[in-house]
Amino acid sequence: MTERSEKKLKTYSMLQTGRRLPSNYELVSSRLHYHYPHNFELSNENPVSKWYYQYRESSPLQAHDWEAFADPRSTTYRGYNELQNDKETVVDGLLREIDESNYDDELAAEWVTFLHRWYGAWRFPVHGLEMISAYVGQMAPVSRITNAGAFQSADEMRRIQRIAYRSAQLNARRGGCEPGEQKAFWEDGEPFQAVRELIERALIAYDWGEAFTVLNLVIKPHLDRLLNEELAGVLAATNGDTMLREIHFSLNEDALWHREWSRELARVAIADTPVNADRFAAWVDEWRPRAVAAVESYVSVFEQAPVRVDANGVFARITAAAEEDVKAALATPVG
Amino acid sequence: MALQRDDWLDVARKVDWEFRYVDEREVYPEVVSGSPWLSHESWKNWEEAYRNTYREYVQNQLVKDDSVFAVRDALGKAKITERLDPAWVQLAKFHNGAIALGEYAACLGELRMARFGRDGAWRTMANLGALDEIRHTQIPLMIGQDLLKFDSRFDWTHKAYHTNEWAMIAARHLFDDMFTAANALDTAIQLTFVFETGFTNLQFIAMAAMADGADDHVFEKMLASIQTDESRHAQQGHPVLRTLIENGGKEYGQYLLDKMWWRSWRIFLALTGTSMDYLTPVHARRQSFKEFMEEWINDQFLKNLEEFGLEKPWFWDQFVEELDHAHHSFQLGLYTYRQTLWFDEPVPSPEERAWLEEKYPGWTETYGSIWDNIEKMWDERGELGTLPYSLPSLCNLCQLPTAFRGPGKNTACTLEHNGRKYLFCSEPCRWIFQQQPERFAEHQSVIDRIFKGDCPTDIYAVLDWMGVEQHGKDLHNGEHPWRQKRAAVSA
Repeated sequence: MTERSEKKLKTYSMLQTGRRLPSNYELVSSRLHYHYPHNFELSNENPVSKWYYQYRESSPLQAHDWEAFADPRSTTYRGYNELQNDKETVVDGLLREIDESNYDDELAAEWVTFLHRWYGAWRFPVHGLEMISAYVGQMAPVSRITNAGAFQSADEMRRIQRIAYRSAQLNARRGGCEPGEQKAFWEDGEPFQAVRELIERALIAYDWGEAFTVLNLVIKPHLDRLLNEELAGVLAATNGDTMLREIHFSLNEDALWHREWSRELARVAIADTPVNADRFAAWVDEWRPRAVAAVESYVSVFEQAPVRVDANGVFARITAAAEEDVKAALATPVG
Repeated sequence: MALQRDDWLDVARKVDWEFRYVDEREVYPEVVSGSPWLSHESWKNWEEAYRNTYREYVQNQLVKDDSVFAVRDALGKAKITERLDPAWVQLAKFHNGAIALGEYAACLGELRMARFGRDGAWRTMANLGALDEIRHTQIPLMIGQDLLKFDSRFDWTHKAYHTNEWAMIAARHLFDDMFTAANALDTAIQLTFVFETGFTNLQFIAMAAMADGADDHVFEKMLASIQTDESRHAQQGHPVLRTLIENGGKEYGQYLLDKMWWRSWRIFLALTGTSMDYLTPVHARRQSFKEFMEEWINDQFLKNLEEFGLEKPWFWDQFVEELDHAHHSFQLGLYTYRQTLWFDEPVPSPEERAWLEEKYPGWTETYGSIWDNIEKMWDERGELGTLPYSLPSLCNLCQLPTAFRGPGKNTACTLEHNGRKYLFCSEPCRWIFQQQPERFAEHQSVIDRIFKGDCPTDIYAVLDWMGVEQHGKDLHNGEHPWRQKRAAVSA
């Protein structure tokens, strides 16, 4: 070892904050982007550099210190796998129990048909959510937001794969509900079309601030509730499919975290630069009608289930709760 | 009975649909998705061999992390470097600085493919790749912090990419070109097919073997574990290249291969070549850098090219010739300009020189004589006699000193473009520039910045500008034991 003891550092010089040592989360998550702002080592004319300079550096959403954002769950890579492995172990157990208890034999034929038509195809819009999360992650000005976007995107993959597994499992037992046929319900089923329009349009909202807002403050608070809590929750249980509710209870834990970190990011952005509240509000005002229309269109299927649930009630619950979410996220910070 | 993966995975990965409310070209703009732009119809059979599920991923990665951290915990955070060879510690600083945040930049490349990759199976794979790269950033950051109390220059594990240090500008330039600011298709071929499939084997597997020999088991475990992720997510390149070639893009595929082969070679000789043949203790050297290159890259990777009907890069003969000398010449540059580095550089000992001569016959005549002269300058004039008096010239493409000349041969060349004169270390770097001048022409090398007045000219002010607070030195502070022994004998 070389003998050179100018000054001993306890942590990295760029992460020093007074006397307190950074937490493990802060240590591995902070100040990892070298290219923001305007710092790619290529000509500014390089198309991808231009893309960043337009949609990240020139976004209406700006803050002096994005590094003030911290994931409330302090998610590290290792922590993420621990947490998700535990959740997946629970879901594995539920899926195994379905097999071992011949659970699927007890489901009403009409409910199996209903799931085939209106549940399995959710993997398409959720894939849209996965793609947009990956976009928010790659465009974020700081690494703590990038990490949240990347983990959220992986959570959506988890949800897609569990929907796919459950659909294939049901088909293997009951037949007549081949998951490979379900794309047609997504592409042609009338109740899905407003959801499809919402997702397709959100995919091309390229300003990073807009993409974050549309995805996490508007779309997901509506669609996550619609899928996890109402369709695969209340409606499933009403139709005797409590296992689906249990599976989506676990998947919904991911969605709750997505809401939590997004609320925190909005809070930090507004505390840093108060005019950001207006920018968020403008995007919310523009996009909320589309999200509301998507819920309104889709909830009609709740009336088609063997045991119906009042579609108007579902609609009212989702839109009211989503509105409360936005209000809470955009509330002027105290102090 | 539980379903097998193949019973359901395709319906979870093949999740593309036909857009009704927007155009496919808007969802996958050519500038970020890549050229040639092809509709999804051309991409729909995209497949790779690993087919990992999310469930498998979080479970497997947890096990892998546990085994890395078990070694870190067992060896204790304390005293880990005290028993390591001093030159090896320099290697660890060099590696950490060059790799940790570069991996994080690769996370952006993976996320770009997870959004703009052209098939659901590709995007799914890239999403896991993005998580991998977060891992490859976080592990070195944790291990690097453990080492700060022994050597504060492990600070560069985190800080290197944020500085204007010349080698780090070269690394940023390469990685921005390769993936951070590249479209999804180029990223798949440049990062995952050429760099990861072709080159990172060498960095991670070969260096892990040497770390084992050097008794650095934390480093060994980290590298070996990272490689298992790399070999999975590197699979993305093959199906992308195949689709490109099937759709008339063979010439473009060959261009990306040639370009990134040369650029990867430059960074590898600079980082891995010098690390293996000059910073690794002789007893830990499993093979020479050249031998590793021949075995891992020339033999194994060339088979990959045959599969696609691609040719060896056009500069192959120059590449093969450089295997004998480029990193030796570069090492002299690193030693001479050691003050600009965040780690120290050794003069090779007699034992190391004998090894170098054995592995590279003729080394003594070409390079030994230059090191003799450096030792003589230490004898006669001390440190000042061994430091440079002028700025190095830097290549306007790879950003490295144009210091790869072979015996009696200078490969540097120039180009006039839009009224500006550019300097290149070699014909291939000039050729890369000429293929896409608009991508590179605006960039200013460190030397350009000095001449333009954008950074200071005084050497110590330049070092501050580069962020180099503790300058790299001669590893022995000029007190080379073998010189002292020689002096004692002659006295």
